[in-house]
Amino acid sequence: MKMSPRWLKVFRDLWVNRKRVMWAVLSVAIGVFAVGTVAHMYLISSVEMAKSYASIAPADIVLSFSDPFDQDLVDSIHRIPGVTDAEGRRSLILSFKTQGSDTWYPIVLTALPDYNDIRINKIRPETYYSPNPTAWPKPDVWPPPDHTILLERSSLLTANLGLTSAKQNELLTIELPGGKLREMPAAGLVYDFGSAPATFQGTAVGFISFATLDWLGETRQFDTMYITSDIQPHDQQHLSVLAYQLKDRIERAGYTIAYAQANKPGEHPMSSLFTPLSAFLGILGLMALPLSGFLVINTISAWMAQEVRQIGVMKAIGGRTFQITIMYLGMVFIFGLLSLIIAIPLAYLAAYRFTLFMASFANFQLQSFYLPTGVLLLELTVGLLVPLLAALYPVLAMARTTVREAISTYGLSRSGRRDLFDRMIEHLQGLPRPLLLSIRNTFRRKLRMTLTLLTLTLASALFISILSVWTSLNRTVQEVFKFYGFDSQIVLKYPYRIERINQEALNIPGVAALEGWGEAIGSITHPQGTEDQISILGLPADSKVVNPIMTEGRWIVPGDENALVVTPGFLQKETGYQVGDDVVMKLQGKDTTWHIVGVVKAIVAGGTPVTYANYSYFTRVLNDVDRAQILVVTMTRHDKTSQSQITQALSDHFNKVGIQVSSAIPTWSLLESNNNLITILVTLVMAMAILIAAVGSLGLTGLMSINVLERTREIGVMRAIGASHAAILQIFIGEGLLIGIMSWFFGLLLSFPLSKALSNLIGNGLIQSPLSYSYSISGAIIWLLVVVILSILATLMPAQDAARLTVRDVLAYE
Amino acid sequence: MARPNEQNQMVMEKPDAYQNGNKAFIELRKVVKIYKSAAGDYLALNDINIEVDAGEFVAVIGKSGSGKSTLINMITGIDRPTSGEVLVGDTAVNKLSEDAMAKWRGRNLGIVFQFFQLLPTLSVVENIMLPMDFCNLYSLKEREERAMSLLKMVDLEDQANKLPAALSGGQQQRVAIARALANDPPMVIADEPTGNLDSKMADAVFSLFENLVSQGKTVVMVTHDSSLAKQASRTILLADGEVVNEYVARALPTLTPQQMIKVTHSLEPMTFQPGSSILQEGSTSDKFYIISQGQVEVALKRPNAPDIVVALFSPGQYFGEIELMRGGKTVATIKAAPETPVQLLALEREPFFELLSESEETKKTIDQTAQLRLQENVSSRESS
Repeated sequence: MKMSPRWLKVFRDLWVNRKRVMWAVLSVAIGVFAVGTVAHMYLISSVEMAKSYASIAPADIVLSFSDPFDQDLVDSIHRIPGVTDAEGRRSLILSFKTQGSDTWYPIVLTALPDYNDIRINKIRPETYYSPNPTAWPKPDVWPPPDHTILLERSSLLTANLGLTSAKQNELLTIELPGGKLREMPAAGLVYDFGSAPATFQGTAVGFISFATLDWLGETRQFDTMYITSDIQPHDQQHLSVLAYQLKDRIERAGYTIAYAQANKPGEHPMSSLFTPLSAFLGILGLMALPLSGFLVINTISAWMAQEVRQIGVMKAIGGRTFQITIMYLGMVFIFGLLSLIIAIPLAYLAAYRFTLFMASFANFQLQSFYLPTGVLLLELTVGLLVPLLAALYPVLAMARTTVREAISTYGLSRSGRRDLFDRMIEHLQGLPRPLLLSIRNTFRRKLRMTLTLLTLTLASALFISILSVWTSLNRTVQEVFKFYGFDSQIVLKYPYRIERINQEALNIPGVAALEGWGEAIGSITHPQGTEDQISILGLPADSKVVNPIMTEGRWIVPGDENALVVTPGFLQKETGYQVGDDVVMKLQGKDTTWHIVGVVKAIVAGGTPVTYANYSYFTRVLNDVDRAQILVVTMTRHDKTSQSQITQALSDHFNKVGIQVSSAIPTWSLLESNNNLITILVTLVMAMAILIAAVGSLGLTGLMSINVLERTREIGVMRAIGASHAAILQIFIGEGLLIGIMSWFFGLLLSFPLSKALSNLIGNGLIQSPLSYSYSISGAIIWLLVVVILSILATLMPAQDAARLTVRDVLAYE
Repeated sequence: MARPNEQNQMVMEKPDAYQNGNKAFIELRKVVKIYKSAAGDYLALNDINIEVDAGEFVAVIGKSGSGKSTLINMITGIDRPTSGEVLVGDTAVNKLSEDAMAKWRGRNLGIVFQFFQLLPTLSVVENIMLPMDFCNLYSLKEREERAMSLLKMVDLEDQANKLPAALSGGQQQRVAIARALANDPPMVIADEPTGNLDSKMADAVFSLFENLVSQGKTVVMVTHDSSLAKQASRTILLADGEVVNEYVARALPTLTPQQMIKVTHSLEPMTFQPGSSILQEGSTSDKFYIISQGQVEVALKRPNAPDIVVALFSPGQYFGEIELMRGGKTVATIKAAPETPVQLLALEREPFFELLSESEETKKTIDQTAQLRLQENVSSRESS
């Protein structure tokens, strides 16, 4: 069947005005893309992550023992009501190096009693290692032979662990606690989604069998128990109570439990890290929506303004308001459809890339990627409804225009009422005439101008704000990292006399100084009977190696007794505490009271919250005066290799002389987890800045060119009364620049509160307090340049075209 | 659904009165249009009363700004009067809602614009089909057939699939006329349809209008072109938003439109029964008369014989000028012709001389007429 003439007109008009259609379609597509990408990422990552996490049967409770235990204890725990399953594991923190390399790296080896009977926190063989499939073919046998290591895949993904180019069956040299070396091939890769990945731990992660454990000279005993439970309600609070009961019961049997941890059911331990990211992305996605809406309103109303005469003719020959409204809304609907064709696949792709990117940090392997119906519906709604809503007013206003208004609009523009602002502008004196014309033209269509300005202002403010978030983030990170004024941290098995350690350490070349800290795990008991582990570090009040930046209160000073400095991580977990409060912690079975004197700036990275106390008082409480369990070392060189080599040398030496090392980690590795989080944030922030810059540029270019196109007739008149090509260009470029710079200026004003709010948002997620705010002056300058260049370009091209038309062409244009 | 030609037939039957009491097909009653603007109120139409019968071809003329376009906008419903009534057929146009108006317009009138106003992205034939599409009057199949036959009528069927831009101005205007006829409306309203065309093209377009009138359509056309206007069956002259009395315009064509309006305002209508006497030879007379209806006889007295009728004056002619300009008694007897009553428009002595003082050319023309008529009187007397 043939199409009716009015719909033919709609389609032909779309085709004839392809360029403008492109602007409209892109405007809508941006909104769909932004909202779609964010929603898609959020939904997929939360749903799929939860699904994957559930499939590994995650432990509800993890008990970490100070003493080794046997299967008998596991079996007895298993029989306790509420416990559905229990499994013991053993973990060792050792050092390793690859063939032909002299650099030692930390590795956590977990020994499993039976590879074929893993029921909790399941690991599975990596069947396809996508970054390098040929180097790691699927292992032939399962379980792997004894005296081999299975590496957790994320160990290979961190550039700083020397394993990026490792291959299957490559020999790894492992150093045992006594200093002995063992060579073991890396039999294959496994995927362990239940634990923090190597990228965040800063150590490689591997698995060995119990036979291998034996071969390494360790007893076949466990030090960690993984427990699943079916208690109802199945939430963290009730699991905590159970964990506390289990701990109590086990300790009564004569064991010591270092910490008992109850997990949030169904929630991956890393997922809390992504909350501020999701919030940030959500806000930016939502902001893209009005931006896109304004762009659509502008484009459509400019379009409708040009259509007014044709609308008049159609009404004159019998077209009713309703028929005409439907025609133009139909046109807008087509914009929407076209934009969906562009935006849905792009958003799909972007969501896929972003999700993969974020997943790689959480060691989350995306099992399937699909377009959830909810996201598709959201995209359809945004893509079809937003433009229809945005277009409704301009379309209705135009369709309602009477034939007389439409056809007999003689002259160049409708005369409106002059307000105070108009009169002010009319009184502008002493400026060159073309500039005066530019200024008056700019303000002639106030509604249009307001919308244009609003759109561009929002884009300016967002761009500058995002860059400000970026600079604030950098500043905060610098401040936080300044704390670590040392090059490595060595944790000893037991407290040793500082004097002895010092003597031994200074024998190692490259060691400049050494400071001994005390360490203990305390616990805070909540009224409902649950318990949280808190790490307390005893630092010398006059420590030379830490540079704390305080968000509140003060740092430890000499003479402090029970003063405690807490971290944002502490405040996040132990809600309700603030500076000036007392906190009771159980330390070595005794209740001790601490007075919170300050909050030090640090990144919330999950795990056991850390607090700081004065060394002299702390060691007195622990009866460990002049002893230290943690050593922080300053070196003569601070690069990564030196930090790693000297740390290893120290660790080797200590082991040799009988000082047992539990872990020895260079500072760069310590900061790795923080760095990873920052990398994700910075990458996302920059991606957003680029997206907003693209939207802003698109809007600016589109609006400016429409502005010029609309005034083709006016250009003809100016030509007719003798304006030169150059004079016309000057007037229009002046106008473009005026709008551009005004939007920049208003954007600048808006960017102050906006950037502060965004920084606070990110800061609250990251460090539990606002970021160290730093306004991005360079961001403001960059955007000014973008605005100036785009305003000129966007005006120049259409103005050039228009100025080239002959007077006759323009004036006869009907 | 009522077929359009059935509707037309209803219109063509010329009932005694239409639904709203109007006797003429198009009737404007006391129409006033005031535009409000920042510069103050502007009176575009002042107390307009017009009647146009079905099948008439009326040309509306007047200078730029005289209110021509406003006037036809009243008829098309494109604009509404500030006060007064616009009745077209059975419809009170000024009372229609905007939507009802669009619907009414689509079915009852075709509009032709000076700048053609074809939609640039639709082909010629699609432009003609568009009104049918909006009004849903013909079946889809019929629409194209009808559009083609209209194109054939304007002799452009070979251009059917071209876009308007590919056609000359004259061709575009013919397409616009074809489009105006798309729904077979009983009347066509044209606003300066030839204003943008050269004289050859203008003639071709004009003959199309004449053709429409011969088919029984009512055509109202605004034009600048007085030679074209003369070819219409009737002319309405507008000046300063008022209709110039057409008999004044015919009687005193050398006056400016403004002077004509002034005269129109000073006229006093008079009616005489058939055969009744208007002026008696030898009596005194101090009025200038313009005939607006019927005929008058000019008779001279003869001694011992009945008066002799020497001339017959028709609407648009005047008398009484000799007595006013030369003074003295009436030089002939004037009476209503025996067949029909006579309507006269009388101008008193004072405004008459004021008029002559303002228009030298009119004075000269009337003087010449007077002289000519006196000579004729003399020769008539002599010959009798």
